[in-house]
Amino acid sequence: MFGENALGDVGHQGQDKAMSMADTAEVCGCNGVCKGTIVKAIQEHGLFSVDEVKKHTKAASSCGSCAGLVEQILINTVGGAADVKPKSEKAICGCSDLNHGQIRQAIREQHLLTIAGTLSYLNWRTPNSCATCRPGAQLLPDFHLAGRSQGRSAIAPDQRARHANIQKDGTCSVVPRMWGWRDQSFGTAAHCRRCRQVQRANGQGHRRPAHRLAGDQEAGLARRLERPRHAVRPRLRQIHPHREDLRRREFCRFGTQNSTQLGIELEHDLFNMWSPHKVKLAVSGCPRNCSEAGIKDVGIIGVDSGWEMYIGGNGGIKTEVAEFFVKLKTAEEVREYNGAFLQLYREEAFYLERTVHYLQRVGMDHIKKAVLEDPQRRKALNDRLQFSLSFEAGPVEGTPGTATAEKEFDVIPVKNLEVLA
Amino acid sequence: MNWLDICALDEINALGSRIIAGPKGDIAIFIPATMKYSALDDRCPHKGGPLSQV
Repeated sequence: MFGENALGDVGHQGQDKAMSMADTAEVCGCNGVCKGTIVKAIQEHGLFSVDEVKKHTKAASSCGSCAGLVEQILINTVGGAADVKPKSEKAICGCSDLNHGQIRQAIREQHLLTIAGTLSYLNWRTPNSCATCRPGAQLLPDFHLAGRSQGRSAIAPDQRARHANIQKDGTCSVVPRMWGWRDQSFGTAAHCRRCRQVQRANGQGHRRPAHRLAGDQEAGLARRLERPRHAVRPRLRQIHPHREDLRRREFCRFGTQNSTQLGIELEHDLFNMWSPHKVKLAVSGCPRNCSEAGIKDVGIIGVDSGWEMYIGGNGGIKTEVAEFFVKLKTAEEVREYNGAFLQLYREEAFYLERTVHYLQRVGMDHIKKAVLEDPQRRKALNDRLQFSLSFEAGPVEGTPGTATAEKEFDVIPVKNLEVLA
Repeated sequence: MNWLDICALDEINALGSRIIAGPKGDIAIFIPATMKYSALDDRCPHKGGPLSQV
């Protein structure tokens, strides 16, 4: 839905393929565009940038994973005249000539708290930003100006309240929060009843929620799920730490540390955190690493003498292995180091830059210097994160109860609609 | 051109949307920042999803 901009740098990059590809070979799988079509468009219309190629051919304009390949085809076709820049120098989008770093600097130094303030101070060309820069302009103040930023709530008062994933047909799947999968009511009569309720509300045959909802989520969701159609909108880009398969000492004879407990604590630590791109965490109880912590943004592996911490992994479109960061003794230390690293990432990464690409850009030494070498700086980073999170209301608690918001999912009743036929 | 009375503007969230059940499918009504209001078929031509849902 958000195209390459949502994907950030995770595409295949298309290393060294452009030259050897046949003209009939498919480049863009989303929109069915082959190499010949792209080359022809470049030559006939005199295109010099990937954005122009996107506009003329649709290639790389949906998921965006072929953007690197399209760039290579462009370079192969027009040579040095191709307008390609590294992301750190590229304008964030067509609305402005400024790059990520310049925008961050302005927000930080000028205390730009609202989207309107940011756009007017930076002389945005479009009156109301676009799908690319708007979420970024909404989120960035939060990373630097915790508690004073009003950008998000003013713009998206209710999107964060949805707590479910919209499906292609407009219904939703319900994703409950069960801290560490320890919801005792899973599979009970109440759980089954709730699943049936939600299924009924969504209409038979639609995707049905797999799990019972937590108590505090039910009240907010039930209201929305009563609407037989468009039940729930997806969250804007609120990042909940993603807990993979957590095993605990009690569950497995190999377990050396209580990884489930640490996982739950990390979930609580980061609950409602917003970040430049999604952040996933995993905790394993022993070096066999059943939670696959080696491909997570932060992966933690319990060993007999403590915890190993890895950062910058990614299991998505292009798999990246996390790098060893530090070995720690206690779970408390892990929580502080994790918070400090993620706050550093929040303060320095480009919007939509995953930790792996942030790490590649700034270098491991830079991150180690900030988080490992100076205890005061580490504590300050973690404190800033916790201070920022203290202003975040939960997804349901934060729901504004205005009449207009309540009516949002109702079809507007209109008489004489047949005149439109 | 036939005009129809749909609803008061404040029945729709600013920068939000609501739908009416048109004879040929749903019609999404938006309140954009740069216009008073706008409307279009509530259907994306690519995969058919509802455009009123952000």
